[in-house]
Amino acid sequence: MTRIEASKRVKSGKSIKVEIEIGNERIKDFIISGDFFAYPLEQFEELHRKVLENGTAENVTSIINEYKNKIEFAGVNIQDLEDLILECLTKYHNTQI
Amino acid sequence: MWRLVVNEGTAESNMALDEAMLIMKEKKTTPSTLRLYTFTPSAVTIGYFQKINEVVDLDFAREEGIPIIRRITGGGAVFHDEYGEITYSVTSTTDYFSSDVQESYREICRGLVYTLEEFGVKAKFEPINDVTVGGKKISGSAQIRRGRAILQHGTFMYNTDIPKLGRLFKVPKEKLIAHGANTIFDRVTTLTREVGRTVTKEEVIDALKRGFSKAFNSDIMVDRVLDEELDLAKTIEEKYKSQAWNYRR
Repeated sequence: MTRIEASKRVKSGKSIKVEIEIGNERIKDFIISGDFFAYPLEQFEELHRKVLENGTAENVTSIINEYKNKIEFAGVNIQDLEDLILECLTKYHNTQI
Repeated sequence: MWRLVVNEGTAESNMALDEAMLIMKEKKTTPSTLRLYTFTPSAVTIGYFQKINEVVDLDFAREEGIPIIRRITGGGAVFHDEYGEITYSVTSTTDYFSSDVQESYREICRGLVYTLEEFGVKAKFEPINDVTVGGKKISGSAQIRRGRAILQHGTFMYNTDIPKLGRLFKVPKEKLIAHGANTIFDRVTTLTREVGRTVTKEEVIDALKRGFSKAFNSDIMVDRVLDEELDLAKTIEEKYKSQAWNYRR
């Protein structure tokens, strides 16, 4: 099991952090934290649940993409979230070499 | 006509009542409401997405007897000083405020800007969710929506213990720098500091009522919390007392 994290602070001063635990290419744990805002909460939680239920190192970014038009972020944006996930995946792949 | 509720309570009961009012508003059974309340005892609330141990000095909070509660709204950690902060909450709908979230923050925070004007203090709304005086934060707000119902709540620091606030929160240097500050004293201020005299809670409540009335272009009449709201809040309160909720991240 490999636990990876990545975080960023954006120009507005808000921050976002992603933690992913991957085992056998499947996502076992996935936490998004920070002092940002996201609306509606129900869609955010649905995204989180989908990643935990079906997420793999290969498909997690496409799951995030499904929610691009469903979640409005404030303080950070969905691109920041995507970038952090990609950063985590890059770190993960580097540990597999 | 808006309803004004003024009360005080524990962190758990305060957050529960805000949530109950949002739920009842979504059902459209209650008037639009401005609630002004204090936390007894002083407490910390953290944003929905925050990791409690990364933002609060848990040991110091415990030593000081300061409970920590997770909100249903996003944003950052807040110190609700029993003797120096009044929390406002606005429960309404997109009939009154913009369907655009960012714009609605501005519309509602206008009430705080007008309140500060009552004391001769020039303030401005700074997106996303702050009201500042001379670049220093005097109020922060956070909003959640359910359908067309809106709950926005936030702080009004009239005499907050800033040294204690600074000790409670693990504020990264980069966050202060992002706001052009070196220390917490460069980043936040209080009404008492700005006017150079100790401002009382009663003065602030009166001014907040006038400030929001002007912002909403409406009379605001004191009224009570409805029994249905209190009953619903009682059931919700258990969530805010639970480790599972407060430590979920």
